[in-house]
Amino acid sequence: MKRIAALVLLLPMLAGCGTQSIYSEYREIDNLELIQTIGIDSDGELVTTTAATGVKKGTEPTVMTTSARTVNQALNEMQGYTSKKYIFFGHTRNFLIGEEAARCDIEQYLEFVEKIADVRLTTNLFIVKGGMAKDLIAEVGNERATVTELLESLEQDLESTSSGKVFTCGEVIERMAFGGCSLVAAIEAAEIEEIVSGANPYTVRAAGFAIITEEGKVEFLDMELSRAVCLLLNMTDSDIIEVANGQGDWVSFRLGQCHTEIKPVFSDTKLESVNIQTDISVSLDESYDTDIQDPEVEAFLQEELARLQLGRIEKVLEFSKQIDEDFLEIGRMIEISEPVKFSKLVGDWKEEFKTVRFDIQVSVDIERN
Amino acid sequence: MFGCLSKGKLTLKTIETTFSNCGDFKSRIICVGGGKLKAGVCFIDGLVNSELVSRDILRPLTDEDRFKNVTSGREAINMILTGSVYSYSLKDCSKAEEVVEALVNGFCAIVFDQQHEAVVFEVQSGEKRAVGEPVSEKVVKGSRDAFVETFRVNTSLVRKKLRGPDLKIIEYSVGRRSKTKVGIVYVDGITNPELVEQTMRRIGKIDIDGLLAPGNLEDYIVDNPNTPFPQIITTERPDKFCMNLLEGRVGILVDGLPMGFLLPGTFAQFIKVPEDNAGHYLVASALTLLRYISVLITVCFPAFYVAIAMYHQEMIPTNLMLAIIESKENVPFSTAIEVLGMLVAFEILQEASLHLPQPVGETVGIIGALVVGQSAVEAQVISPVVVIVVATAGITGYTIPDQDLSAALRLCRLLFVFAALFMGVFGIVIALLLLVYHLSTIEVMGVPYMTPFAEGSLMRSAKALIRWPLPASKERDISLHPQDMQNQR
Repeated sequence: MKRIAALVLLLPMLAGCGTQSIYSEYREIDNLELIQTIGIDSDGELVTTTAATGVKKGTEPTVMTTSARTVNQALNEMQGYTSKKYIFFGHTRNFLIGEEAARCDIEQYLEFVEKIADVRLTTNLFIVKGGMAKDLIAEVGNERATVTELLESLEQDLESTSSGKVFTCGEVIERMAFGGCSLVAAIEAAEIEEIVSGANPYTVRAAGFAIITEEGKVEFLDMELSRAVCLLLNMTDSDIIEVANGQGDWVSFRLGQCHTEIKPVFSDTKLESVNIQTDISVSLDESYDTDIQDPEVEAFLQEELARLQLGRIEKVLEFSKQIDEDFLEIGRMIEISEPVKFSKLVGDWKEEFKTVRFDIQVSVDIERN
Repeated sequence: MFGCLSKGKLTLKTIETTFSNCGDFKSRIICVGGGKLKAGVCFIDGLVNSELVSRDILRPLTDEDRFKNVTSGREAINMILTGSVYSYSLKDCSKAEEVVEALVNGFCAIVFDQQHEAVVFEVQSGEKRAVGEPVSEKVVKGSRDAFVETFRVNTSLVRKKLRGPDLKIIEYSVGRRSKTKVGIVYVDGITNPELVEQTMRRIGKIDIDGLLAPGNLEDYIVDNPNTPFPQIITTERPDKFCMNLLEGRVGILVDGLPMGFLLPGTFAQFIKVPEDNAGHYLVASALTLLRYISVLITVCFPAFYVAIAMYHQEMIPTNLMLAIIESKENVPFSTAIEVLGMLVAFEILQEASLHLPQPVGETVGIIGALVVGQSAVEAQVISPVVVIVVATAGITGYTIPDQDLSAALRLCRLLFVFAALFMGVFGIVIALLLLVYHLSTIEVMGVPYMTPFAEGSLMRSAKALIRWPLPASKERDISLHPQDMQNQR
């Protein structure tokens, strides 16, 4: 008994607690200042970090800004801003990077997230389109909704409208490691059209997807193309699609199930083409005077819907080729489906991607409510 | 007990000397048959039924017609033994110490000085507590009788439930001065004879002044007296007692203690209640699982709170963390002090309300828990979260049916908090490992304490966690090595 008990008590040594007591890591819960949103900006030399604290409902968060040569140092300097409290990053939900900082050294910032113990890889990553993270954090939010809450709400909105997706730092790091580029949710500060008395005039708005690369390239996809990305990556849950019925009226459909299959067509070791098959089922929401029972009308609407989606998909693929980045990870999908043939491709995938032919087919099924 | 005084020749004087300065000892001289033959009558007032003594012993003894031809004590004794005096239970004694023992057990003695002989009659007082409902083991669906302090009543309660002649009751007298009657109860043909033998040996070895409290028995017959975990099942309920006898356990009944003891006790057995067999098996299984979960919660919850509040704050959902911070911001004590303080206060409250008369005890509970607790939270002496944590741990502890196990787990709870205080969740894991290790080393009369979990059989472990439909559970607990494994066809 004594020997076993002694062994169990020595177990902390195996966990790296041999040199110092775990007790030294003790932090009293009420002495913590929770940071929920971190913003990173850079002018090429100094890194500016902005942090918004977590607060209870109805209270405005504290926003702190510091600058240093590294992110870690800048965040460390924030400690001086709080009286007795310890800055705690374990509850950081959002990591915002200004467009300029993303162009400077995105990898450095992702490395920071990867290595610092407190910040989790599940932290959401955003690129602030056309602006600085610092300004967005400072401007956006009020006592009704903090910047963190607005970003949470934005994430839910994107999912419910299938117009984008918020990727986590971990997902972005993984995508970057594979293809050298990644999609990141883009946001921007926007003025509220109708201001309620006393409310902050700014809010945060989705700005499609940003494409970031290892080389510091940052490109943006608008909302229309972001929808196509969601369609291609099977991230579409529900959306409303409006099409003209050909008689001057509009018909609206609710997107049901969507599925896209990407299959490579090889001839020996040569990649002939990539077949993209998208199946969409929609249900009628508003038809006005359109006689949906008429088979001709139905066929017309089906065609219109397919044309709309096809156009979006083609534009995204064209854009991908244009910027020479496979941000849709088509290469990765081919590798998963045909690993042997993919490894035997003559050139590297980046070269192959420039010339690859896409055969796209969209089929639409209209379900009646 | 009275050896030094009662070893002389058997006379009334010897008995009187033995009981000198005993106010409740009564003796007198009577003339047998109203003649010249004299005999001494003695008994202990309160232990005997005085009406029975007068009607069934003294009146026939002094009846002239009945004893007119008797000339010697020997003849009188013979007549008494053949039924001239009415008694269902009588015995001829030739030693003073035999008479003394009979007297303290509620007998009345007729002493014939010249023959140095006595006849003792069982005329015990009928004054005893009525069989009532169990106090500490509430019955929802089942028989509502409970053991009382009288040994014979308790054996009758068991006999009424197990009427077969294979129910054996071996009686002992334990305690140098108390001479307490102890009965070893088992079912012949089911119980492992080795288990009965061991129990008899251990009880026979008890050499104490008095067997007056349950601890007097437990401490002397368990294998591991240093563990706080109970190794003997105690129950007030005869139905639970009999169920365990049928399972192959050995029961012990002690005169003066309103409870039965069952050996060997295992961890799984302390979590069970007789109601498990009274309800539907799905409901009973769910409740059994709930009790096991409660064991984990009651032991680990305060420790887990201390660990995450002091070391692993990232584990708490953000909104909850903000609420905890807000509620704790003005509290002057650290989390550890708060939790330990509340745990100790909880124990004090429980102890206070336990030892007070019921209405006062309830008042203490209300004042302590509601008034003081509420005021302490409002005065920001303690945070409401800690109150919730400690109260949850306390309440879940009450789902454990056995009070002794519950007390042991309360002790563990405190140790777990200390482990969490110094090493966070890692400390809790170490404490859990040590606890499991400790429990696994305990053996009660050769039966592993953690049986069936320690046996490595998934099926048998599942049977402890889940109550199977009774027609499907045809076998007795194999760890008890019963003589007959089948409990039904």
